[in-house]
Amino acid sequence: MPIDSGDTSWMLICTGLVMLMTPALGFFEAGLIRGKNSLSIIMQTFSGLAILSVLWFVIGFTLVYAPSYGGIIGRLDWAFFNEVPFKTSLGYAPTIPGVTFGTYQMMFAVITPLLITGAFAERLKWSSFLIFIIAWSLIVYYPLAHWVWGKGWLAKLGVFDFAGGIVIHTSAGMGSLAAALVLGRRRDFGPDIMVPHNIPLAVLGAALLWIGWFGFNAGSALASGSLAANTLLVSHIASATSATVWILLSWKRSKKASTTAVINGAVAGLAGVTPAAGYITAQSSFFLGIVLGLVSYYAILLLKEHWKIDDALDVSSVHGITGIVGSLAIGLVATSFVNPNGPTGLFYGNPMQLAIQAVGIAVAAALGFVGTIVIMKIINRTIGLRVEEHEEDIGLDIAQHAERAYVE
Amino acid sequence: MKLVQAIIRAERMPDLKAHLRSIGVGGMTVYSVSGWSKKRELHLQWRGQPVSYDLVPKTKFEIVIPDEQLDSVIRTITEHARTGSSGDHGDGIIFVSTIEHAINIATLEKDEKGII
Repeated sequence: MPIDSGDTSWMLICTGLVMLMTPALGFFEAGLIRGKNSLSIIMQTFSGLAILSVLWFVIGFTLVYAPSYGGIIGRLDWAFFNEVPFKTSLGYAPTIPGVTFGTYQMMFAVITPLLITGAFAERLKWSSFLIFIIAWSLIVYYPLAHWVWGKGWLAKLGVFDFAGGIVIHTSAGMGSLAAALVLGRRRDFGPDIMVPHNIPLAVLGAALLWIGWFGFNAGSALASGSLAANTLLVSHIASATSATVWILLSWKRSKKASTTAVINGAVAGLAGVTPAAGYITAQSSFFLGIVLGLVSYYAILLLKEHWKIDDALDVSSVHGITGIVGSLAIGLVATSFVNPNGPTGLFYGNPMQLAIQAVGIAVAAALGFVGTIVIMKIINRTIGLRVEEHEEDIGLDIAQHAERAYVE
Repeated sequence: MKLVQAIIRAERMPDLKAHLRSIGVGGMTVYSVSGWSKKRELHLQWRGQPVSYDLVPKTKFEIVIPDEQLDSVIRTITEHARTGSSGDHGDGIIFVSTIEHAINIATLEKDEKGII
């Protein structure tokens, strides 16, 4: 097929939108933690944007999308983007330049490991962070993305994941749970340290994430047109509904409607609808958004308040649990009426899809969880994971970066 | 009654605050301040270039206590604000002065009754 200028325009814009999500994630997270650690998490996300882009260019794209070694991992043909065409397309997206597909997917490979920054915030050493995101990309994300999106064995099994509920949110979410368990709680874990130091900054981050997610989900149609249009509506409705649920739940629990709750609810809805966004109707999305809001809210109560697992920004609930729910939802409410190339779920006559989705989720959850534990344990044995206690007291901005966010 | 003013390392504040509360100090005012003393400097960087600042960020707090609490308060502060480490900045200083009157605005209780 010839390169289509409309499709190409849309995908170039989407590449920018998804790129913006990584610094937006940094603002979102920084606003929700203490000021003395706010630069450290912005540093991690922004430098992650640079480092993981390089890694994708050098080896990531070819491991994920090049022709496969038996469905396990891509060959090295496209290392350094060699032979990736810019005047013609690749089979994955037949109407846009090959390099545009590769660059767009780069932004996904960048943000996925960086979602885990929310779990290990305020206590992980910078040097350990650097090794972690590279190792996690190579061991967890690249293989998993190849299996689902690069014509690997899970794709052959019939697992569907439109924009990354399995590949991204389930794996990074369960990785976050593992990271929080291996790393242990922050010092003085409790209400004293849960001080969102700049809520307007967090809201700015959430707003940029929300608009970026239009590129993330609707862009995953890999073309402009009706599927992208429906996907954008589906994504927005799930997010808005989930945010509304969070407003009501926070209002009910603390008698005051909460700003930090509504932005978390929006992100939970966006993360959860991601896998299903290109396969379901807007009406299904409305109900999915309600479920996503409820499960993410109560998952946090269970994991953080009841079990005292210190996933600082609740990535395991807001991304992991929602990613699992959204990926299962494909097996229930996906319909080929929305996407003729997509699956059909239980409610539209195909009960098998639910089981197939469950297999994909289980593989992603296991790889994300176990892979993270192994990587973190090895780092802990060698250079150590956590900063010294007094460094944690002083804050990572000064202790790890010799910089500070604010000067009084 | 005594006014105790102390300038300490900011990172020691949460721990010290909890201990002062536990020995019965009835209230506290806390400020973020910055200052210089002796040869202390704050060593940071600007785009990879090392930079030293003479104003070092600190936490200052004030408490007003009955005379008989003074010893235990001083002991608590020195115990929990001291790190003993050299480095960019010191462990701080305590000033003690005498207060003539205290009046609780809501209850109009005076002096020691007004501060507990």
